[in-house]
Amino acid sequence: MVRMKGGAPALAVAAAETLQAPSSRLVITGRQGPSACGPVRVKRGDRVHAGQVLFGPEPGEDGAGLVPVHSPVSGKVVDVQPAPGPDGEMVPAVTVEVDELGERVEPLARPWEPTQPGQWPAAELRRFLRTAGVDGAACPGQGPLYERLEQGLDGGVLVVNAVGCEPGLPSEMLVAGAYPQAALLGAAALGRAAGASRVLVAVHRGGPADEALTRALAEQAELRTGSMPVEIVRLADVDWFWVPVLLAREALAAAGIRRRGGRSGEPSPPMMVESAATAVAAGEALLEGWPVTERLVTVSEQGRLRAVRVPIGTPVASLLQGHGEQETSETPVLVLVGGPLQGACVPDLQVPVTKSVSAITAMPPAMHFRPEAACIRCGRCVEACPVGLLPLYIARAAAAGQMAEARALGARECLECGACTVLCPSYRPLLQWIRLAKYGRARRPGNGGDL
Amino acid sequence: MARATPLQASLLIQPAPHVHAREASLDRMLGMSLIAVSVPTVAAIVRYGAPAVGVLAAAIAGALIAEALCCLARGERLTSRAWMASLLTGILLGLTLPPSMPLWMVVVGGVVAVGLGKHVFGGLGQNIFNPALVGHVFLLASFAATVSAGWAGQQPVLALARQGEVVPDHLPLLWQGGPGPLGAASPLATYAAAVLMLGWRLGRWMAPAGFFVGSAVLAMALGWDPVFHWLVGLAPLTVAFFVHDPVTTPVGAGGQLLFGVGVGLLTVLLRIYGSYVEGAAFAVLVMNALTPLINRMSVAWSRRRLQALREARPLKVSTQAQWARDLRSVLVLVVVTAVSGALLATFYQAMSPIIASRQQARAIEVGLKGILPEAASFEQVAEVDGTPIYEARDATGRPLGLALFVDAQGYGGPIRLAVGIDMEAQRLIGVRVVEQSETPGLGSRITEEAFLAQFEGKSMDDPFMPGEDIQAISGATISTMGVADGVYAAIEMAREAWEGR
Repeated sequence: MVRMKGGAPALAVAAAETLQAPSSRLVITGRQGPSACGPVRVKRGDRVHAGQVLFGPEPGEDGAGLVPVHSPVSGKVVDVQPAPGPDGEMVPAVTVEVDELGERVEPLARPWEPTQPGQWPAAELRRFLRTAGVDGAACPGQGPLYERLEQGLDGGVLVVNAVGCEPGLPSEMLVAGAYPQAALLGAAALGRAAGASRVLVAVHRGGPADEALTRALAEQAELRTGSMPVEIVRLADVDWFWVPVLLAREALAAAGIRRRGGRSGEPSPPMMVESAATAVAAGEALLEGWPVTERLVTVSEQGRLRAVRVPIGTPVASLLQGHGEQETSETPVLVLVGGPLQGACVPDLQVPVTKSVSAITAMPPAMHFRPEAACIRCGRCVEACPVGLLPLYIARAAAAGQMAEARALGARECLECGACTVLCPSYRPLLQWIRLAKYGRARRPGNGGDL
Repeated sequence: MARATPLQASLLIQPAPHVHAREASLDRMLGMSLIAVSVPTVAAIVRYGAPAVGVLAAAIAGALIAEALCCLARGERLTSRAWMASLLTGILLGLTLPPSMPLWMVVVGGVVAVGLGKHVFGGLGQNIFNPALVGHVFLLASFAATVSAGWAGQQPVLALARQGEVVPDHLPLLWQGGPGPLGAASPLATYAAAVLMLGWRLGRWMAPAGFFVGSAVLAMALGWDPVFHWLVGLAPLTVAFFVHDPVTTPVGAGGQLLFGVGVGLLTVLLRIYGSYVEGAAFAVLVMNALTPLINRMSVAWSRRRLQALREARPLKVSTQAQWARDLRSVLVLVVVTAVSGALLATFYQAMSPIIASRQQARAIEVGLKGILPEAASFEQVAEVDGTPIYEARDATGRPLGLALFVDAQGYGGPIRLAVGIDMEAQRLIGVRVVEQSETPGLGSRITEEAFLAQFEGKSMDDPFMPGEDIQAISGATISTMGVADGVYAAIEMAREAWEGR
């Protein structure tokens, strides 16, 4: 397994900041996470209350599979037309100008005891969470949350990632550490909604989230012993490439749940990974009876980390302290949704934060890139790959247009962690080639393209 | 993706990952390899002085000239990594050669190494064979005797061993290698470089481990001392550098292990049965040629693992802390070393009678056949004071006489003689010096044919006194006396054996 310089983040969880200069105009998009949101419910000129549905089904409507988006503020709809989302893709969007009235809709109905999700019928809990707009993915490319929850774990294990997704970018750790009670409650709720038999919250041993969650769990007897018990799993070595699936496997092994190879006979229990941010969103919705309209974003600027809680629809520019003037400056800068290893470039600083934006990284482009050289077959990428693939051969096949061969070598099993590319001494764009084989079509007919 | 609002000029858009590990750079790998290779280079220069400097400089010059010309011809830019790669090739080629090489040959070797070994395949990363060894083998094929030469009138230690002569012990050999390539001037220095290469993660342990195991097993099975094989010739350089060349060795851990085992087996096989003295260069090149095949095996293994993954069999992931993993790997290493050490020791124990008998057989082959070339077999017929006495017979089974080895006391140490005696005729057949450490130029002249010829056909009843019936070597009376006494003692023993029949 690859170890990166930099080490595990040893920062204390500062109380989550609230934004110093909140934006007066929010752009709430109709695509907040992996799930579909449904049609827009307001039109230009409408007044909206905080908590009012902007996209998707109203409370009480069914709208199967659709996760509604709610207005974080009271204000006036000044625009209803497509706008760029965080990745630059044009999506339906509602622009709300914030007013001073602070009008709110009625809280969401919670027919069962909110602090004991184990007592809720699973289907009712799923419906409640969906109505509250809880959405999220544990890693890029994961499907809609409610498809996973409804498919169910059938007595399996839910692992909540409270560590992070990249070395040096502990977004999940910060969320869980800032809202430990909501994280535990939400973990139990997600476990109940998915029909899990055990819920493991994976933390970095001795880290800030470990401390906060342990204390919170000690205070909440019903979460330790209730019908949906939550366990904290402490992992020692998180100083390497975190890929949520691998994290989950480690958490299972650490909890003493053996997951052995198929040949040895013992079947592995079903497993599901969710991020701590999703759990916190679920927990807060239960505790407050209020839909998800805010997001704690980890902001990394020039290596300094902050956690800022903002309403969804806030422009990325207002999260960044040092980059307001960058818009006119000639110094090139990378602003990423996510971290330096897997983050996507923001094409415009006015793009809005969504429920699934865990981190914003602003960094100068790495200056030590060199032009790509020939592969010297040193095998560093083979050593680095957490899945055990041979990245050099997948990339070679993809570059030759042999997409079927690239997929046979595991292009689709690639988790896109980027380790191979980061460690290639010839600066070869291995992951880019692998992505081409993973998602793309064969470039030429007759060479085995199977799409 | 739809086009977003106008982009800010300062915002970059690029696919992830957005960082690159600083330590992952070809230039850095080459630079660190050059630092590692400087250790045996300095050792060679300290030991051999100016000749070593000349050979290394000529090899580097040849390599750099070829690099410049090839890049010019192919219209490529001469990058720092091109220079560094060729510099490394040049130094490594120089280290494979003996200090006595004529410099023009070395320059040719350098040009061939980089030109034929690398650029004809398309440059850095494209070659199949290790460039330095391509240059070495070219020189070996063209000037076999020169490349296999020793130093200061002594033959390379590998050649001595093959002739059945006694070679220095392990520790002296480790500190100061026998005559041979510059890279074995001090095997200790070269192995220090090997440790650096592993420590700096420029190579992994699999290939060296495979080499040690492969060479040890075959050497012992054939009745040779394995440690000797690790210390002489190109073995230290192979372990330190040639098995770590990323371009020409396999990519996966299993493949690297296989590669090392192959190089170890072939090295010993070619050293013992090959027509050249040293087989390591050919061994590495043969395994280079097999590397694409080994890599295909790695691909097949990877596909099998993927099949398991697709059938949702999870991979094993360790949950221990890093220090625990480090400790575990150290413990595993210790256990593996201990177990393989014990296995090797047991094997060696079991093999040592065979080794001894084979060494004896080789000594007979080399020593006694020198006296009795027409003999087809030597059969031990008696033992006098622990000295075996052999009866030589020709192909038809007719006895030719008795033959034996005796140790005599010389001026610089023991002199080991092979003596053949025709008991029917009561005459000496001949005497050969198998081993001696007399003063070069004086006492060492006892090995000369002119001196030894006087023993041929001498009567067993002669007094064997220097100055009387033995022509002494001037300035080496004690050496002469030693040989005479030794021959006399041999006659006494043969007589005793003959009477005891």
